[in-house]
Amino acid sequence: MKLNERSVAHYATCNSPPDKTGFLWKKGERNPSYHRRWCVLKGNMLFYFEERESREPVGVIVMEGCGGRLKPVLSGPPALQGPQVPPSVSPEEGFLSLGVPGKENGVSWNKPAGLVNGEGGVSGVVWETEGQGDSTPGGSLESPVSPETGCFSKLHDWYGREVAELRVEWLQSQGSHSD
Amino acid sequence: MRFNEKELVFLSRQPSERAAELGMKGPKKGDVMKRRLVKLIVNFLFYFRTDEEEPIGALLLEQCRVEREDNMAFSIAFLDEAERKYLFECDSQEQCLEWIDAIVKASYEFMRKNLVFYRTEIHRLTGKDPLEQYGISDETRFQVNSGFPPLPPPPT
Repeated sequence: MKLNERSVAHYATCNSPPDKTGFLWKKGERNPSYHRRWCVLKGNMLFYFEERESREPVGVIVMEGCGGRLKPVLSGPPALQGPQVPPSVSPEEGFLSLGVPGKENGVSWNKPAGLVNGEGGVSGVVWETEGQGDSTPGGSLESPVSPETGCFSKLHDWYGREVAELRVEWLQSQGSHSD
Repeated sequence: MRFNEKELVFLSRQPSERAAELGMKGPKKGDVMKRRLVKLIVNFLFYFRTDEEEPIGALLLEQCRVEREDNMAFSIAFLDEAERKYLFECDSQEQCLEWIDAIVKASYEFMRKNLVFYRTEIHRLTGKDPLEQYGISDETRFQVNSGFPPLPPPPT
């Protein structure tokens, strides 16, 4: 499928104000290792560059439709393991993971303050500009039109489902052993 | 430049703002007018062969200019190469105007300008910043004086 790539690349670097910029660790579907990329978010387009000074993006991830599936993952590049939880951005499950490099940019990408998503409109991910360590559920930051991962009850439901599934799996495996 | 093609194809199957069979001609020299199914979905214009499920391509409608070419035709040009135009032919003047209007309003740029416009108006009328509760009121991209072109009229 074709895309007007030259104009899209131009959009990445033109002077329209970005929603968020910073270094992230990116791991894609094909390449199993993490790479540090300069990332620029403009509306529903997340561009990534080799370097901050690069004139052309290496690629772009169309984020439209992934809003509800923006979730933290519990693994990340070695440099990030520890108390930090890098977020994963997956328009499709397993497409890519993004990790936030520690204190380096001092700003958290993993808690979008809300998603601007009008009916049939463009989704703009609005990122909260608080420190990485803050884990206060973002109740007051809840967007009226879209779910977000800063809300504890939603995270609870999300992981609750996973736990329930794992439990079923475990119970079945226990059952098959005792047979 | 890489892009997540699979998800873009998935997006092309989502409900569209507008969809119609239109005449379409690409910007290259040998390109000719062909009948295409054209779908506007969020800020993408997808175009399909009329008998195929998978889109031929998509145009990201950011940093572009939509112009009326004649009674029933309009063009889209991107600001990086303004001389390259994609030409579209409609079945009526009314349809042509509807498409132009929808495409102008499709971009994220347009949405943000509207946000800034309403923020300013609400602030003026109520004395309160409506974005304050979302914690994004200090974001520079939502500031009025950030060198944007003049604000568009509010959508009707």
